[in-house]
Amino acid sequence: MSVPAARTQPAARDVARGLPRFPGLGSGYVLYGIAAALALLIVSLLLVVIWSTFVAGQPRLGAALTLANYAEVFRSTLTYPGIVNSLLIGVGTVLLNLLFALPAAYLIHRTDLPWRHVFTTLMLVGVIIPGFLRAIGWILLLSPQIGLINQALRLAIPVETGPLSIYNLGGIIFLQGLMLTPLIFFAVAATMQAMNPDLEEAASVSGAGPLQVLRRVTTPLMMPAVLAAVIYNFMTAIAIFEIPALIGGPGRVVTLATLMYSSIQASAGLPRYGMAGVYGVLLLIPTLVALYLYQRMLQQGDRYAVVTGKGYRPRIIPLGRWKPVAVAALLGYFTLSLFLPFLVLVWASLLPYIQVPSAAALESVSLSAYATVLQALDVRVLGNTVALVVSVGLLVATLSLITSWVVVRTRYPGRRLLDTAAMLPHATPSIAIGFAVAFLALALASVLPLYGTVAAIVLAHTIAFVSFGTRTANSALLQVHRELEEAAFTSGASAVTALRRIILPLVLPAVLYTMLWVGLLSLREVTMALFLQRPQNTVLATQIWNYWMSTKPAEAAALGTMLIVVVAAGFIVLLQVAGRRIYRQ
Amino acid sequence: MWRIAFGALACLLLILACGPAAPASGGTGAASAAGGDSAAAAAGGASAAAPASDAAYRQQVVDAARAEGEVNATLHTSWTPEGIQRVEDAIEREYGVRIKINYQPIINYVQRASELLGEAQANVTPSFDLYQSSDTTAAALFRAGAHEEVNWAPLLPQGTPARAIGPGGRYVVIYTDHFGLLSDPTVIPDADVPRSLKDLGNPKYRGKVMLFVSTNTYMPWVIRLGRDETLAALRAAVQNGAIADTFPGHLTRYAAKEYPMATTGVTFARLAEARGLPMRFTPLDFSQNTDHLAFVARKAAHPNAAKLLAAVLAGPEGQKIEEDVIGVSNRYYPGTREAKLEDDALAAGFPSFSWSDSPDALDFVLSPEGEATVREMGQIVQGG
Repeated sequence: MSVPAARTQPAARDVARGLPRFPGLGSGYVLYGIAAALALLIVSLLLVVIWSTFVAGQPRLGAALTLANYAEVFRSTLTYPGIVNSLLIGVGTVLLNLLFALPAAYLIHRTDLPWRHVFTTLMLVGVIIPGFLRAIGWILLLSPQIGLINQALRLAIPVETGPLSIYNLGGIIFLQGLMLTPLIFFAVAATMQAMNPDLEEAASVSGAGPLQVLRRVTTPLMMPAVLAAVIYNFMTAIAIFEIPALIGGPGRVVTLATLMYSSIQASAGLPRYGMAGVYGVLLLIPTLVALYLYQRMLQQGDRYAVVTGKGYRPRIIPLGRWKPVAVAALLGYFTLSLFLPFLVLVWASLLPYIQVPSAAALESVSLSAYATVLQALDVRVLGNTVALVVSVGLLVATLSLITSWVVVRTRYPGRRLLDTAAMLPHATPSIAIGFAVAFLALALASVLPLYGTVAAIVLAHTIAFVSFGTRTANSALLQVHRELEEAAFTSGASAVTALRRIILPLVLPAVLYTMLWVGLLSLREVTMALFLQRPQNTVLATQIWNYWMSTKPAEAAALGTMLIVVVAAGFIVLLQVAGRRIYRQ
Repeated sequence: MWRIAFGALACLLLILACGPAAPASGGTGAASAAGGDSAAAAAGGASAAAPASDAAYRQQVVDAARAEGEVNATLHTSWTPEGIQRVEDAIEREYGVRIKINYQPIINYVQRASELLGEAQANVTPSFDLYQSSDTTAAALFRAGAHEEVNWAPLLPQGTPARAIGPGGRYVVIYTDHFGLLSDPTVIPDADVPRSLKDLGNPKYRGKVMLFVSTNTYMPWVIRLGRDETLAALRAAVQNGAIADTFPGHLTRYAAKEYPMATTGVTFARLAEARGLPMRFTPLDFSQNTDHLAFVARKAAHPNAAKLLAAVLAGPEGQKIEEDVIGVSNRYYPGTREAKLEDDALAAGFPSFSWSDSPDALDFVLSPEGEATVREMGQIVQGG
């Protein structure tokens, strides 16, 4: 690989300290500046959210500050059960995620499992199914009154309702466990693909069996990626509201997310953003604790470096006679997490209203919802959606890589704060981010034409998802040894050149996964997009939600089905074309 | 080469995404606020000037609306493209001007109200020219002056009842609604239908009831029966297994036969009926009426087109279209389904309640004590 001729030689101590050489302003400082600007923007938005917690009623400039929102939240009899339930849901969801995701990632990326492209596509496709439609699907299966599984069980067990019920804390954890598994899967997948087999082979040669290698070599090396994903999923799990809202209602399970949502959907007057912000602040506390622990782990990053200057290829483990078992296990997971909800989605799209399958229901099956949706589909909505998804994916991947490089690779002052700032949006409820972006856009309307445009949604999504990008990029960068960059600096390359021509190719799987994953999240995300929705910037996710809230479940399901089919087809083609880069054979 | 092409495509998408909203068809952002339509601005001035006569005023508004050419409206969620087309035709027949209606579903009154209030405070052109709202939600907006006061009478089609005009020209009533109990006649016999909010705590209805999650709908009970009685009735219902959900959630669970009863608006009961679901709608304690109104936003980009649209919707032809397309009607028109529902409730011994006839009650809802009561009811229905 050639590098530009050096104009000056870097000081030896700078190379030793891992700082890039910086002629003039220095490209390293440029990257630092970008990361700092991102952090500043995030902090500004969060300050808006925190400020709103001290304003009674509609937040407005010049409003008197008060502690009334805090007093009301802590006086409420629902707050403390909400906190406890949220924490239990977070922990339970993550445990279930690990149970599904780690074996799946290992089987798909480190073994000779057949149909790996198909399983990866299924993982991606599952992300698109809206949470509220998943919940509806499982209500039709496990509602104590009408659930199909319960109806079948009641043939053998003489009870009036049940015996099983989805309407409890366990039901919420089960659904969210299935729904959020892909997040951990993709977060560790890139790391697994980049795994250097030398350590594993050394252990095998020394007499360690496969399970021992897995437990004492592979797993510790995976810890940064796993922990990063666990932290991210925990914060995602406690902030989801549509599943607790549908499942928790009958079971009287309140969470901080449902309490926040009910504050926004005020029954009288106007939404109470201040109270919602207080619930958001309560959600922030466990994140800061988790973030502190994570950053302590980052300080020992060198121990996890497995990608060095020497060439390598991850070791593929042959499954042998365990292949059918592995395939069956994955199919079992996808049946629960994808096939069943998708079948419910298709079923709901064919009926005038959602009903349990029966002979009478079959008579009312038609494609009229599809016709209605296609007739009403606006090209502008499609264009907005494509622009949103691509822009957010690119921005998050770029900003995350830059920020992570500054955090993991440099000794610049304040880099830990930059990492903390990058993580903060994930602890912030989506609706709070949407509110903050809308408020700032309105305040700057006279100088910046952001309000009411797709760019406002792009900004909100980028802020919200940069946390995921930086966790993935941090983990990937930790695996790349410094010697590769130092060789580039010694040869006279700038920081940007080293990042672009050495680091990026090595962490490309992580970057591509980030783009794909964040693009999917953006495609599916509805809370921020709804909050920022104005006449010109409707996207497909808000269109689906508008149908649902307009009591048109068939149209919502039809549009959701078409979206899934199109995206799945696109991913299959993409993975076939890019398969050689993603799956090193 | 592919990297250069990919980078160029990415930049193009970013530029497109960041493009401001087209000022002609959008009422958003500083561009609309700063520029606007000069004819519309002149006509907007005409709406503020004292007209020489009603006819002259009407013509002035029509001419200004012709110059505007379109209106951004957020209305009932069930409007269809064909229904909107019918309304455009009706405007043309009534005023001789063709106006394009850019329609968006209202989805959530409270959310739209908050957006409008934020835009008003920031002094930008509102996202919509015409807003649909309810009497309780719009009250907060009117207090903040987010609306334009209009001289409606000369604009309304012949046959529009005087009661369709709100006080001070704030709004026109485009349909009304009743709030009561939706029940499945195949599950709940006529003789067993609850007649009171307190009945929902009866063990024979255990696990069969859904409550509407927006608890300001129970304020009429607070005003008529008393705060403590109402809270006790809700508490008993919740302890009897009643759950709280939104209207779409109600319809879904009702259609799936999970819960055979729901406290809801008759509009949604009619939706269930239109989809072939068995349904019965009855009052609880009294016949509760709600006015659904349309008002022109202050600083709207197309105020005159908005006035004509609202006037047509409130008029006889607009009422017919609304009944056909979205299944609503207006009790201020004699002989309509809403009027008949009210008459039947009174005949059955239920007293009547409406916010428009109880301005003090509306003031109470918006008072600190009223808001505290609503929040306490919200906690009860969520299980607190």
